[in-house]
Amino acid sequence: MLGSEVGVIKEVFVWSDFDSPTELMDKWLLAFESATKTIRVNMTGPINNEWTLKFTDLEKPLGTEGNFEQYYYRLQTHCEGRLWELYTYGSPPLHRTISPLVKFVPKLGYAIFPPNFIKDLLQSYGPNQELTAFKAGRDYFFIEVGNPSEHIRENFANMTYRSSNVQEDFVTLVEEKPVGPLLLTSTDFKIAYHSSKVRTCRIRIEINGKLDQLGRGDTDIFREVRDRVLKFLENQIEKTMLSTPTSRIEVKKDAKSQTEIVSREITQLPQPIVIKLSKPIDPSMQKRIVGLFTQDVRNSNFFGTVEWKSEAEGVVRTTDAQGGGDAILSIQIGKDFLMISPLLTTTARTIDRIYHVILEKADVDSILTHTVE
Amino acid sequence: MATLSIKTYLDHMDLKNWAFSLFDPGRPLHTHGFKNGRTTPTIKGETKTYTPDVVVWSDEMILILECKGGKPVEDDLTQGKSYVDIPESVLLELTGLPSIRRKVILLYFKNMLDLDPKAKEDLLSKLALERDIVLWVYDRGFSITSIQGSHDEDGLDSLLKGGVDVPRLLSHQIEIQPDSPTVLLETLLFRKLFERAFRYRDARFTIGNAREILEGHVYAVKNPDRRLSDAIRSAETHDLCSTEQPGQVWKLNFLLESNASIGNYLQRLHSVLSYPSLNEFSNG
Repeated sequence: MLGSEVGVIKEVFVWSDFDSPTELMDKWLLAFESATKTIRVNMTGPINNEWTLKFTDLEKPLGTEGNFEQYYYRLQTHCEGRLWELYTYGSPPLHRTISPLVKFVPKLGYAIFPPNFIKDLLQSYGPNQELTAFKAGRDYFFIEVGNPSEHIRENFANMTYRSSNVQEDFVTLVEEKPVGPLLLTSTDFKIAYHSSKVRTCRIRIEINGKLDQLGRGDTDIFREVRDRVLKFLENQIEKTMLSTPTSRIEVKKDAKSQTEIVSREITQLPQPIVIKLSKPIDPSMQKRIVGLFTQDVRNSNFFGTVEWKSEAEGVVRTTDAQGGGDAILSIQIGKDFLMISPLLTTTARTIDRIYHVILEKADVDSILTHTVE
Repeated sequence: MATLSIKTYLDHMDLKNWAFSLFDPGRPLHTHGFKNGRTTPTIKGETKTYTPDVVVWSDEMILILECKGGKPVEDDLTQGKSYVDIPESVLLELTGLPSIRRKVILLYFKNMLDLDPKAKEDLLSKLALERDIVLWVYDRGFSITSIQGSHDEDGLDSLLKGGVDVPRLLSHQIEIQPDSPTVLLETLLFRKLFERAFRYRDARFTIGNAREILEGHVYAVKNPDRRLSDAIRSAETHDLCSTEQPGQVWKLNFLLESNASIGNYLQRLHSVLSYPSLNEFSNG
């Protein structure tokens, strides 16, 4: 059970297209080991719907011969197996454990914690926030947010914005407004409750599905945040599932006339999913978005074809090059939103990855919404 | 089957999808009671096979829609009449309703119907003699309207005479049919195989994979594997795939890790429909 052991909790939330984690165990781990050469993975379970992944890092020998550094992750599934929660109590290096595994297996992909979700989360803990400081790094910026509330006196949050163009963004940040067109990628925040005793917990939440406890702190507070994160993701996938088309093949036989009827029944129609933009789409933005999802694979990891294009609208069919599925995008000039029409192959990962590309390359303030309520 | 251009085939597919979209939840015809629908069902009888484009039904009536992308021809009415002859027991099996009225709908693009006034006049005069066949037209981008025949239900007649708007964005539920040209099947199949290759990190495929990936699409009445083989052979000539094990395993001609190679593949796939050769038009 999460949080029942002693230690600092580190978590990663991952979308999965597997029917069960056992499928990963049976079909992918051997291939993963051969591809990485210096990482071994052993997976056991399930015990109480929980699997254990043991990573052995062959690049990190220990004193005794044949012994290597080992890292453990526990795996719980949610949302009928579509969402995996991987957690650990140690500090295993991600680049030798979960990161290469998620990168290698096309049926897995990080969930996304978008800026609006992080900001809403912070607002719910400290509605009166103030910018108290900022500093610039080589390709990122730190923003410090204070909370002048009586109960939480200490600095509240440090937000990291990643920049793809430091010089330009620095001018925007310093001279124009506190936070310019920078993408909020990571936020450290501290929650403190002052009742009979002070309880605090420092937490880091990152855009690509990571939620970490920073140092020892109150695990109940961490669990509370984790539950809210989980609820957000459950809500996202539920809406995506309601928007995604489904169909089934129906075969009927009429003995009297020796007739067989084979047909496809559409059991659920696609409903467009909307990405709300911070400003209306102009022709150059339309061109950029169409390009990102059809040809500019280096920047987007998507390929596709233009299905049709008129003066006002471009419709593209795009495929995630990391195996995340396909979808149709409609980009209309003058509208402050773009629409994703899901296909049978569209998954939560497809939607998240499309949204991530829009956030990173087109509009850092865009918000993923669903039309199905 | 008359030889048609690729564009007419594609228009025909669009027309079917527009027609089917009329019965989406929330649309007037769905609200009117037509809540059950099937796209391109294959009805195989002892002696005859029917493949109407769309079948929808309410508690009292079944509409069998046949969409026509081109100008009206003599065969259209013959095809419509054949649907009037589908045995009652088959409709019972399909709908589960013991007594149901049927209407066959012939649906044309307005501009194609108006293209040849003589053919249109001929069709309308013959249709006047048919009780169970109704003519609808689609004015592109606007609405579908009934212009000839009665549905034997005042509410439906009035609804269709006024015209039913079509949704702006088309959801392609039907992409292929049994008599589609091989290049159309090839394009659909190899687009789906391309997408599959990323999901499975594997550009190889078998005929079984091809069959599986097209599940739900009616692309052949007899011998579907032969149609798939034809599409694969055609794809080999377009440099979309090559044989790994003759007759068993093929490989898509692109490298998963190379962006340039993927771009070239997509370009080749796109050009299959852009520059079709004439002898590929009438394969069925």
